[in-house]
Amino acid sequence: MKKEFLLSAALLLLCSLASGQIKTLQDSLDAARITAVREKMKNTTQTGLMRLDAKELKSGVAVFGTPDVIKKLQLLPGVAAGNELMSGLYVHGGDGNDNLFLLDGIPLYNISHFGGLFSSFNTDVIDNLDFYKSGFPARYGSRLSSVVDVETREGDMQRYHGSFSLGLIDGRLQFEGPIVKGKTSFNLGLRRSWMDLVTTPAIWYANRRNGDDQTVGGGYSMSDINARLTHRFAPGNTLNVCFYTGSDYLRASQEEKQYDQEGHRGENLMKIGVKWGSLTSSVSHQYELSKKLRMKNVLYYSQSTSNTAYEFRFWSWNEGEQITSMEDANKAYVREVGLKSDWEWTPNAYHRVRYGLSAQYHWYHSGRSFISSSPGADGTASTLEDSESMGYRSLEPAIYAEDEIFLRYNFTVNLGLRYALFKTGSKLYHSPEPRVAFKWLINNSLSAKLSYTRMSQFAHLVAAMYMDLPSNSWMPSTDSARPMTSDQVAGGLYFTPHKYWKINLEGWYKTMNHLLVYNGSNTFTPPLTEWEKSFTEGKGKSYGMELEATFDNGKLSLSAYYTLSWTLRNFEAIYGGWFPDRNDNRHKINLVASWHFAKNWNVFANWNYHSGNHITFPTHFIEVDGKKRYLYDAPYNTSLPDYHRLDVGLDWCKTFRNGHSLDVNLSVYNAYNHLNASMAFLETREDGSFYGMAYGLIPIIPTITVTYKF
Amino acid sequence: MKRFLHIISLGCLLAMSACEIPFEIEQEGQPKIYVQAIADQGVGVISIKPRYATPIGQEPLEDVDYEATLEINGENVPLTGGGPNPFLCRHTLSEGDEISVKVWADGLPAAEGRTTMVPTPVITDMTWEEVQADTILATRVHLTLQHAPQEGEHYAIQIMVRTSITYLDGNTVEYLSYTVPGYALTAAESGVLNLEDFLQVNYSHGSSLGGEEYQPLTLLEMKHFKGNEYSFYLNSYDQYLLEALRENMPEEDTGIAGGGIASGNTGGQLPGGGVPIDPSRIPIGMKTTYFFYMYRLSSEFYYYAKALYQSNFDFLSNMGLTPANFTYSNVRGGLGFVGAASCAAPQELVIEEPLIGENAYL
Repeated sequence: MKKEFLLSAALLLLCSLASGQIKTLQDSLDAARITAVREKMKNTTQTGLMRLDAKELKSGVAVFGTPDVIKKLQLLPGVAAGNELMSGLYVHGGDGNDNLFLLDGIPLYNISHFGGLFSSFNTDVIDNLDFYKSGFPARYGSRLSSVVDVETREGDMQRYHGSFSLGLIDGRLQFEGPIVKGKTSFNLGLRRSWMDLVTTPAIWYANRRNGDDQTVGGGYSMSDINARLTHRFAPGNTLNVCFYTGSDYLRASQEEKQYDQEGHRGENLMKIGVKWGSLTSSVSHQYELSKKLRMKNVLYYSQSTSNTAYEFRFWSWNEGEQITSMEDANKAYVREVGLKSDWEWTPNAYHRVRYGLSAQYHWYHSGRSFISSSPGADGTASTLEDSESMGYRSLEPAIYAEDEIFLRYNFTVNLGLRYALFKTGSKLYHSPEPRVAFKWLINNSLSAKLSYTRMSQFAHLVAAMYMDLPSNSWMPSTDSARPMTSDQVAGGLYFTPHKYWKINLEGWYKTMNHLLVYNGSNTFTPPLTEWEKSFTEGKGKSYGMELEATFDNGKLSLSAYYTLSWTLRNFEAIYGGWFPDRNDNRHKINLVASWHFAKNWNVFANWNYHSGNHITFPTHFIEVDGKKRYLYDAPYNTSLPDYHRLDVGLDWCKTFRNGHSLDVNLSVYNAYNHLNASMAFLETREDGSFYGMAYGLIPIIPTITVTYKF
Repeated sequence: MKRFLHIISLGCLLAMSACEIPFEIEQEGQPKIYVQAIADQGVGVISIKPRYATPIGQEPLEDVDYEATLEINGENVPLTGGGPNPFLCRHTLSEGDEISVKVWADGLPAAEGRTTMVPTPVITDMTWEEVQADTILATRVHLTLQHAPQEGEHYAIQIMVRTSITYLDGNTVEYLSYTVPGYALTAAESGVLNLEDFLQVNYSHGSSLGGEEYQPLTLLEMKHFKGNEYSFYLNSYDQYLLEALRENMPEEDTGIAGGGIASGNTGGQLPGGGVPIDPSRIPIGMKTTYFFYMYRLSSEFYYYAKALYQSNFDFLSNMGLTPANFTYSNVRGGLGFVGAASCAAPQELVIEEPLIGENAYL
């Protein structure tokens, strides 16, 4: 017995020593990772690239207890967030619908849950993320403003482990391990909101109290499933099968029974159901043919769907059994089947060549139906019934090649060309897109870079509002809606004065053509038939500079980002000249700090500031027939009050003897409860002077997340 | 529990009041010249109406004396009027004429704008028919243009109505009014309501856009035409007028409502033994003349008219929830617009209706 006890104690001691060793090893790996990433960034010709790994994505403030990829990217320089708390990503003056989101190389059309409150990316399964704002490599195309390339993690080939997290409104489960040790593995991530588990019994209780006369129903749920299966045939020969599905479901209903004076019974009814989501699946094969040549082939399917339906019934009890009813349904989807083949060839020390081709076939569809019935004057029902739908099929093949050429005197140049075709109906567009990047390694700690890229986009988001609504739909370029294009020049200085320090200064100038903006009136959903006519075409430009300074020694991490930028639009049908964009935030500052101040403890904070978003206020008035008529000198002529917010958080981690651990994350969003303006109206004081009245909606939000890792 | 609810309510109230963030508006505060310059080929007039645009937050001033120049194809053209009044120029305009307007006044930045004269549309045919749908009888009118509208071309229609009502005493009263083209006759025909089909602003022929007087100009684009034909209903105005006439009928038992009264002047004594009534209150006939004015508009005119409509009615845009599409101006240094319109020769449609007698409405 004593022997067994001693043996156990010795094992425990070894384990704890090993965990200490592992921790030390982890720290040194972290430091190595930081140095490696910096070296890579310094040595590449790439401008405008931010690389975030799983650890960075999971650390920091988790709004509602869920670490969010998009909210992380919103902190970066050159990016405007748009509406607070939403998943807006307006990169270098972009429109928010011009970002290429790739999950394991597969394009995602819908990247948010709950109107943009959360993004679709589950950080539990993400391995790394590359975020390109400029200098796009030739292998990327079909969007104007940015590329967000998210790679999920291969499952552990040796042992099973996972985690379970419970946040303020959702729960997450991640599990990975070998199927055949050393050869095949899986990685599975599940996420689901649990609000409906609380609201369902509450609604049931409320209905029970109300009796039969009034019944209410409703609930919201969202869920994600990520799965990745990896099989290694041999070193350098890997097959991956990836799957993702994410969905949101919102429903609300109210039924009310009423009686008229003669005791006839009737009912009023309201029912709303909204369901939307995405699904992607892919099979990819990576193969290293030789030390100089490797390839990756991917076959994939991606779809984004949305269904909305509502039904209203009003029973008019004063006029007998007459019913007024209204039913409306919207259904939209975009589906894509694609094939990509990417090759990398390193013939010698002076060239690194990448080339490949891709082809996508798209189905775009958006449909709407409407039935309305109301009692006519003669007592008979007058029924209005209508439906409209638009559908397109399109083919988008592209080829590309780029060569990174290492020249003398520490010069490197990357020459690339992407050539894309787009065919929809009888219309064929073609788009040659040159990509050029240039780097001069001035000395070991300083480099200068310059890049030029042309991008084109053949998909347009048909949306009337600045919100991520399920009724929004994607449509392709058509005869009258031309592909959008952008040209961007970016350059900067990249300085690494010390292994812990990094200072980057980048500037960009970007022009955008054939942008579309909704130009209709008073509707949440633009008409589908001839949808192009509800939009007007125009131009955009954006320029500015970004300064990034970071210090990271593995324990203390400090980052400061500053952006000075201008974003302008020119839509002839709206205004005869250039005017500021809604998200033309002149200054943006982000300060991010993280301190691993004690064993198991980590504290972090970030402070965000940017100049206010723009709104359109009248600037003048004239008097017509004794009445004031307000005039607007330009769109978006007024800035909302400046935005600022502090988020703080604390991580605590406890590792148990069995190797399992418990992580507790306490986050406070908007710690000093500063209500930032979301919308504003013009108001008049008693003395006749005017002022703006803005409305802030998002207060302090404390959240706690508990994660158990096993 | 009650106390808890009170605390929650108080918290909600505090949160709601804290949502309001008043802020000062940083605006340049510079007064500008607002210009409405309309070149109307049909009337052969170019009118320039400058006004003093007061910055928000300042007291409006008495209008000032303006000066203006007008250039057509680069040549200066004399203007009449001016000072505080509109400037006018009678000039025969042709398609493609380049029109430049410059207005200035002491202490105000000069306002400049330009437009190009649009071609005059030609109506080659007009037909109409009676259409019965459900319980409604309406008139459907078809206007055929010589050339089918193309993408990017802008049109508008204005319908003036002259109504002559003849009373039993032989007197005739005329009313002048405006109506709008009926988009659909029944709910079923209208389909899903598209607000883009109802863009209407008041337009006083060749003079001013966006005034208070009801003279609706309905904006049209290629999508509203079927080839070179534009079709619409005339029903609402008649229905309202007849309803009004019916309400104004004397309450005595005249037998009119029941029909059966012979038409003609009865000298105040109705047959059938009814009590004598005032013949000046009995309408016996109505003649309605519709004048259809089809315009071709320059882009500037169309965009400005659409912006006017949207600034009045697009509450989503005004709340900042959709793009701000109500700010159009092509006047540099000032506000307003310089635009061109050209009107086809008006088409007339006369509809005569007996108000008493068999098959009468009343």
